[in-house]
Amino acid sequence: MTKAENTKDIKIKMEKGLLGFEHIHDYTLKPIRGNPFFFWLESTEGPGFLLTKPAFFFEEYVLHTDKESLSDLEPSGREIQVYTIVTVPENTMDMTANLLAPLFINEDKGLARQVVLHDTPYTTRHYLFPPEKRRDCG
Amino acid sequence: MLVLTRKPGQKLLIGDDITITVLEVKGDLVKIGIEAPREIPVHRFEVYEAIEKENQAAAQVKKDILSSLPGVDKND
Repeated sequence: MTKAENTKDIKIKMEKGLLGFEHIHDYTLKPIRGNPFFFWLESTEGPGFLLTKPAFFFEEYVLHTDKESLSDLEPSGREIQVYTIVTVPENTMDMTANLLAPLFINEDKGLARQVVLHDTPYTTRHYLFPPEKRRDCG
Repeated sequence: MLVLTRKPGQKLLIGDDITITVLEVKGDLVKIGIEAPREIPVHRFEVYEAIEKENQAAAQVKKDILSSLPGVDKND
């Protein structure tokens, strides 16, 4: 890894939980050794989630959120990081990212919330590796 | 379920600080205005459901996946 960002575990408090998992508030965001593209979001109480950053796979991803609406994440100088939850079907290459409801994480303060975008072309499933761009690797 | 009848322009108040206004009724479409504090999320129900479903699908992932993710060359 060349970049030294986000190389340690970060405790995350998700006051509102994830939709469907409102009862789970405590998570740990873990980098994945040797793979800077993905992250593991683990809860002690149950499920784990695979995360990525939209910037890695969706260069044109644009978000319109005003700072006011993120006040619960206590943004200070440093920008809040945007992650997206990845769904992994049986065929791993078909994994998709939920660009409709990204995860905003204040890594400094350990606060996070899943934000539902309004008036957006994005959906809950976007291929990380669009089939039309895949090469047959045999 | 509480059922109330309203005309365009008329409002409903929920609690102290949520106001629902019926803005326009056109055929089978009803345009609704919602004023609520920023910390109250407002979603189209089907959008909420879709995200909930997707989160549940995403939670099926097994931690084993971490060793076989694309982006890492395991054969070196």
